Amino acid sequence: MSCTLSIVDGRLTAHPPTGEPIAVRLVRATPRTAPQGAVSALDQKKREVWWWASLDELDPASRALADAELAERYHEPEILRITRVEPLFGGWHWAVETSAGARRFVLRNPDRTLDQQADGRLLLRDVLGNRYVINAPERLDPHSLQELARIR
Amino acid sequence: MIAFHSLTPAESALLPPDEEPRLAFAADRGGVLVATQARVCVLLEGRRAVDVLFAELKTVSTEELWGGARLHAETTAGARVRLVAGTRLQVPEFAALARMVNELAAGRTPHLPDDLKPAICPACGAPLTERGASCVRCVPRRRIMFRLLALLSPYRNRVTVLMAVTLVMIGAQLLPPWITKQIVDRVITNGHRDELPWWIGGMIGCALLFFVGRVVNGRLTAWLSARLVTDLRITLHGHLQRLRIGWHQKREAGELVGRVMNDTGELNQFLIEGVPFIITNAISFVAIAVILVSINASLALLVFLPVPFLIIGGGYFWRRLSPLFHRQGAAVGRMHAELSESLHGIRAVKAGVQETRRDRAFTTAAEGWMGMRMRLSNTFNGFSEGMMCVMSIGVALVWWSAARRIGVADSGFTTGDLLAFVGYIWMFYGPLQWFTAVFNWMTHAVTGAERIFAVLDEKPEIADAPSAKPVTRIRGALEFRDVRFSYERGKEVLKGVTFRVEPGTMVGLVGRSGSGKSTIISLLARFHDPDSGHILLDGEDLTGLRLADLRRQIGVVMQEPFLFNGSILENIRFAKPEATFDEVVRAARAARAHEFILDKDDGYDTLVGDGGVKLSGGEKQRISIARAILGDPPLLILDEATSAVDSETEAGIQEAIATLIKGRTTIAIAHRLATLRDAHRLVVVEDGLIVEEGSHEELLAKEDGHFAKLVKLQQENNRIREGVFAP
Repeated sequence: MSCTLSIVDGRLTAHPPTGEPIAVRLVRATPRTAPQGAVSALDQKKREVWWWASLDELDPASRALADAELAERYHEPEILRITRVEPLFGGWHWAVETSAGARRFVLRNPDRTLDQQADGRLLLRDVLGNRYVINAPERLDPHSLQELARIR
Repeated sequence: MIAFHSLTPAESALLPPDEEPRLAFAADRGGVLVATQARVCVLLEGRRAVDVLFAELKTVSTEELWGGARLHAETTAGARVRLVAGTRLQVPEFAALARMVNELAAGRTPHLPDDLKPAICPACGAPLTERGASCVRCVPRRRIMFRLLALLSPYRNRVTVLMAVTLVMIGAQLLPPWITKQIVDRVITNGHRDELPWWIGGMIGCALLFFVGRVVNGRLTAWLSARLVTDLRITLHGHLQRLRIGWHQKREAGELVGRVMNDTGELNQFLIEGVPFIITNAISFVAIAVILVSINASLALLVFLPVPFLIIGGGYFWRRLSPLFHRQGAAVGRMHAELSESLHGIRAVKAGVQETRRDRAFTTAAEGWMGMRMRLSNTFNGFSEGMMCVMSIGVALVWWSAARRIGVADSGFTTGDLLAFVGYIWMFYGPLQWFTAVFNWMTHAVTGAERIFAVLDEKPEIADAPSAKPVTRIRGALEFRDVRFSYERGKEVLKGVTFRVEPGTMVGLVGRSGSGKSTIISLLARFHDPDSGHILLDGEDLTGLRLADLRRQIGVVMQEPFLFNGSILENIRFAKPEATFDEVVRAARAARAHEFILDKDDGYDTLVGDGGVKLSGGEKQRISIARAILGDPPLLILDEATSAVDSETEAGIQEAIATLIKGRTTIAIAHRLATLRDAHRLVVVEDGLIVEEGSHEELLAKEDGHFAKLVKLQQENNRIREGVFAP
């Protein structure tokens, strides 16, 4: 018997099989290496209410709520095309097309902020803390690849 | 209306007809937030998507997310309504927005915050490297160059000499091809053999002049640029010492060290090599062009033909080269990191049998550097040869066109002209390939200079008001009256703190970390001033006292005492540089430090190493206690004076502290409650408020009190610890 989710008074609320319903915040256990992996529900005092090793354990209605909440919390536009990457004073300046529109951002210390995952995804974190992902770097168009090659 | 965003007519039409927009903001992840006099609403996809009347609104709050932030409204009915979400770009604006909507709802007029630093350049829209930084593309190069030059004004005479020498040098460089022409045309072709010694003498003279010029020029340039950079470093150091603590807290010391050393160093390099390169080449470029045209205009045009190719080609190669330089630097850094991890963690590596894994990690980093190095030198090789090729084509063109003119009767073109052309052409082409590189270099240096000026333009610490009173020996009556303080707007850390400390007594501040204890102490030392409320010392508001005088009355024994690289003697004397050796020893004895100091090979002359690395935690603390005793301050701040030491040492330190606090007004912070046994009174701080006050016994007697709970929790912890470590 798994825990279900609903919205009560605008708050995402967990209904554990035993105990009272409680307003929760969903967090991914490994947002970088396995974003689709385990998810935990924490209450306001940061105590764990429930742990899902996989969201597949949820019923469809709860699953939809969880997906929507996680998508907003872990906003991470996918980079579809790289217009330009250039090193200027203090950082690498990027201009890209993403799933959320055109973006320009600065990346500092590419060693730490440009993170290749074992599954091939390339994660980026700009100076402000915004996240971006390139799901399959090798499948980018030739121009994007050429620009990417300047930094990798 | 307060405009973050100006509403379009279509958007305005979505609002109720009798309401005026007071505040509007376009969130970058969709939706326009609008607050009127009666409601806060969100306009999305051509309709009012969310609507909360102020009558039903309890508060608007922000939530920081993994990749952004969002705003919620809490209603009086206890429900939560999501308003809008934005990227990280808008996090500070969201915080300001929440505060402003709350003020509007409370019937007050909110103010647009003036300290929102932009993350994108207001002029060109490019993202900035940090909030409030200047834009790399829009950096006002000329203004900064002028400001740099202004720094040279005390050394006017040398600059004048330098410029004269530079001109002489350029002349000495440009003359020889012209002399060649004279020798060929006049001496060889027309037989004026008697002139030969003069021309040869001129050539040698030019060479000598150039040599002397170069030496003088090099020395002067080196002196001037080193002087300028040294002046800047000294000014920077002095200025940094006098900036507010709050300013320093927002920056890492490492980054500032970088500014003082690297930015100025880069500037030095540019001034010593870049500037002379630009000046001499610019002047000779123009001079050569003029000479070539005056010899033969049509041939000169032929020489100019490859110029665009050289500039564009140089730029193209530079665009490929410069990222490689960056990445080579990063590759070296990676190698360093892996190596130092392997060596620093050698015990952990061996214990975990991780040698092979570490080998692999280092091999990857080392091979990475190798690959980068090869790409760099391959690109670089191609670059020089490519440029040489274009130049040679230019030279060939000149030979082809010029050789056919010589001897043609009405051309007036001589063999000497040809030789002069060939002599000038290399001088003319040579520097062009570096045009883009030097321009980039200039941008770097100027941006570095700009960062330096940005620090210098920062206002120094709270200046004393002209009416500030001098402070002589204080009695030590201390009072906090409804003190409120926030490091960042909207996040109050102290929410109205009131308490008194009688002269000569000790008050212990108790509370969880983050409750506001350290902030109380920072305010007392006037590292910050309260947003409202008063801190009174002997009945005088701190802001009315001279800052330096005030700080001399306060001794601080810190959680992690900072020792300067020097001897133990010097470190104790830090509090009172004029103290005699006897006084130092007396203080060291009182601090129970005397014996361990004598036990060291060099006694009081023992060097403590950088930050005191050669001493144990307990030793450092006792030295800092000795320092405080020597300074004999009437007001004392103890910040968890006993941490990370064994119980025997702790007992010693307790004794030392007991000596230290005698007769002084003392405020002590301790996470370990046993430390506070000697306190006359305890003040319990929680979430920026004082929740309990009283003596040790009084507070313990309160069954459900905060202090009683803390004590119970800690006793449990201690039992666990003893259970683990007891033999």
